[in-house]
Amino acid sequence: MIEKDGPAVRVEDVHKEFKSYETRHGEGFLSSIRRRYKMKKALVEVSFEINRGEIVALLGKNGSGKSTLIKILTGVLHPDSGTVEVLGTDPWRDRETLARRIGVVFGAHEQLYWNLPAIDTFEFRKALYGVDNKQYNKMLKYFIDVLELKEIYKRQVRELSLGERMKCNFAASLLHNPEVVFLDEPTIGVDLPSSFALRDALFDMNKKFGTTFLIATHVIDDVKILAQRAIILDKGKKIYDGSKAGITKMFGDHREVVAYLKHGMDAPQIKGLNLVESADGYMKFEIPGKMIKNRDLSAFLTSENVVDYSISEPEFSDVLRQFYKKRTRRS
Amino acid sequence: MEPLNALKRIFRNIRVFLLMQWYAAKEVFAYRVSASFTMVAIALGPLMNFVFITVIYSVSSGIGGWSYYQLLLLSGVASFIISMAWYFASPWTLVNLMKQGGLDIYLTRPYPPYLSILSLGSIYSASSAFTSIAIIAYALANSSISFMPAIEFFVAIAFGLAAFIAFLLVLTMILYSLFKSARWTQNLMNVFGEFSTYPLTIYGVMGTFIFSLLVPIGLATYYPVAIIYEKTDAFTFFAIVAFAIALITLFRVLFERYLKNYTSAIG
Amino acid sequence: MANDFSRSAARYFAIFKISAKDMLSFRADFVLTFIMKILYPLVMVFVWTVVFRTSNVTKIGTYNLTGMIAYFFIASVIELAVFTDLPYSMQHDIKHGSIATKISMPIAYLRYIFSSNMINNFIWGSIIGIPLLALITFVFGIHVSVAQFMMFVFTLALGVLIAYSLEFIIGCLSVYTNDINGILTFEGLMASLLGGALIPITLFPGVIGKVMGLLPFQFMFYLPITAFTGSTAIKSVVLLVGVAWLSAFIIIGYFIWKNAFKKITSVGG
Repeated sequence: MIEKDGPAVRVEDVHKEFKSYETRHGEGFLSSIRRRYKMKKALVEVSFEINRGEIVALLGKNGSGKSTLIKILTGVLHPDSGTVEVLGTDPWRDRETLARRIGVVFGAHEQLYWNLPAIDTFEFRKALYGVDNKQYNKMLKYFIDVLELKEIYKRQVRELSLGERMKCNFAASLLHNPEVVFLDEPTIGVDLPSSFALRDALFDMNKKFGTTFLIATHVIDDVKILAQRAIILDKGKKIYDGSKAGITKMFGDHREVVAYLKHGMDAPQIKGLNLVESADGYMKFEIPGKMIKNRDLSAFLTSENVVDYSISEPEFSDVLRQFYKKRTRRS
Repeated sequence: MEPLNALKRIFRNIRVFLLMQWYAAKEVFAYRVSASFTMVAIALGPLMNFVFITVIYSVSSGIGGWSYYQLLLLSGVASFIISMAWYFASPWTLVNLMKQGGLDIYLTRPYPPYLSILSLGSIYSASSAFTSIAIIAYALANSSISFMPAIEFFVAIAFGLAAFIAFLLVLTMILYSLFKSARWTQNLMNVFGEFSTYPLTIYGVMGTFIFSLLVPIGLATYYPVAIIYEKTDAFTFFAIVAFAIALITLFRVLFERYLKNYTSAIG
Repeated sequence: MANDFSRSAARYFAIFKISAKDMLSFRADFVLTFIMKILYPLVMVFVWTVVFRTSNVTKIGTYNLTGMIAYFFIASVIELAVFTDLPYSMQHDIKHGSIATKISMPIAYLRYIFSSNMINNFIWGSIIGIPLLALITFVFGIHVSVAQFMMFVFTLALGVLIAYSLEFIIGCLSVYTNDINGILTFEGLMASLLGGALIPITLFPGVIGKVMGLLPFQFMFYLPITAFTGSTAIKSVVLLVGVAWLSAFIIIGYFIWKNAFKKITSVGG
């Protein structure tokens, strides 16, 4: 039963463990029959809900459990315990029926036929999902447009660059216009123009069709540009679930000040001012957010030697790095 | 209502399977010259056995209790079964999928994973299947056979083939978990084919046991041929089918268990 | 030339001193190949035993039962020498453009590809082949005189060279086609059939047997096996046929390589 209302994704108290085998070097080959293994906790007590129409980023270092979570949500793996519901139904139990309503884009694996042009894979997917002609033509035209596939989709896939292939893969995976889409590292290794096109398409689909997106990613721009909300996993546990602004407020509440100087000089000794970088004619500081109105700082910035200055928010990647650093220190 | 739905599902699965074959074939023939060469080369495989048996029967009386055409039928069936095994259960493709974690993609599609796994075999094997069928037809045309044994022949082959393929899939996974490669299964498949080209009885009791109960290839090769030439009793046919069904059920359970514990390459 | 060879050999022995992890898979490969080399001819043991018994004869053609069975075991071992990875190495280099980047001179590439494959083949073939051959000699009670052994080495060397030159030509063809796998499989089947790996070529009736006696494939299987067991004397005229074929293949190979190399370097890898 796929509910009409209710959250797109509901995860409650999910646990997942794996056997992680160690290979031992230099032993006889019989040792491979009885290998030692450790139980690795991939997901621990993970709970969250995603409503329809949201775009959520799933962040975390390698091995944090991102991919495992995506696989559980798409019915590829099943949790050891806990509840998982996508569109109101269990993805492991009802995998086949649910598969028609969800889309999956794995960045590392393409669904494209290597020796054929991408259009062949599109037609294959059309037949596979039973998409009718009208809908197919509409979606095809849409993707060719929003992903700039015009020069690409009739060429042999093996001749395309990674970015071009990812765009075609994206289109092929979503031709059936699913309600919820899960992506696992879709822009990794992809050239800049193609990743822009991918994000545009995703954003547009969300606006136009109300598609819900959950993106497991490393790439900062995926988060910055697309996601309204971020869920962060670390060692299998959910350590943050909220808006991007929230992360920034927690750990990013500092500013970067860059001052361009006429002559070289020593850094001003103001409490709270952290010199990050200095070169001939230029200095970069870090200050806590509340210091932007500090009088001593203003005096320095308006002094004669400073020809220009800028005060900006920190890079989101730096924020995340701070976030992770605090976590490791705490653990 | 239920049986109608089940029938609908079966037809849908067949349609999807054929669809995947169509595109797999299309991809293989994207390069017509090298694909054609490979098709021809693979088609020649069964003919080697044909030549061997013809030479043996021209320089000797052959294998006791088996006429020339009877042995041809057996070798044709054996090479057909091996072709079908490669066509549906190519170890190389399955192992590659498991290694690179590509199996995940097939698990996100709206139909059973078996369909995906069975459709990933070697398209080229269809050509050796055709040559095998030609040899089978040639042998049958030159043999005197009765109606009932003929029916039982085809039914036994179908069940035996299903059991053998199920066996191979499980074997591939077991050997992959041991050796992390497909080479053992691939080589063993060809060895099984070699042994089942000739009547299992020449290998003694031990050999017959190994290739009918341990490695169920005999269910699809020796026994059906023995049935059609009425070399066995009536009970054998039912024993074959029953045993095949038992094996298919067993391997399906094992396969699903493995799927549940499946971890792909990317954690 | 000999100096280069010994240097290449040293280099490849160094590469051969592989890490412990590779040793594991190496050992598994070794066991697998060893087992397979015995399993395939094992079928022939059963088949020929029954055939001889059914016909109630002591000889078929020039072979008694032991000799017939031994034939197939030796054929299985020789396969190690005459089927190599040379064409696949070449296809890999050509498709991945490593030829153009690796070496600029065509002759240097030839030296590289031949020496690396020959050494690999030689080492691997010896490690498995020599023990197996010794085992076969012992089990089947084959008496190998010095003269027989010399003839064996000579015909096998001829067969190996013919195989290499043929494989080299096929390897060149990967410049012109997408995948040489089909061509190579075809060549392997022809070599097995016409060269006596499938069945001794003297068992083929009349005309067919005579034609096979003129083809180069007999040097890959039938002649070395026959030389080793000493079951039939080998006429020297046959050896001349072999040398003639080898020369022909080398000449053909030379011209194809020239053309192929031109094509590679003109396209730019």
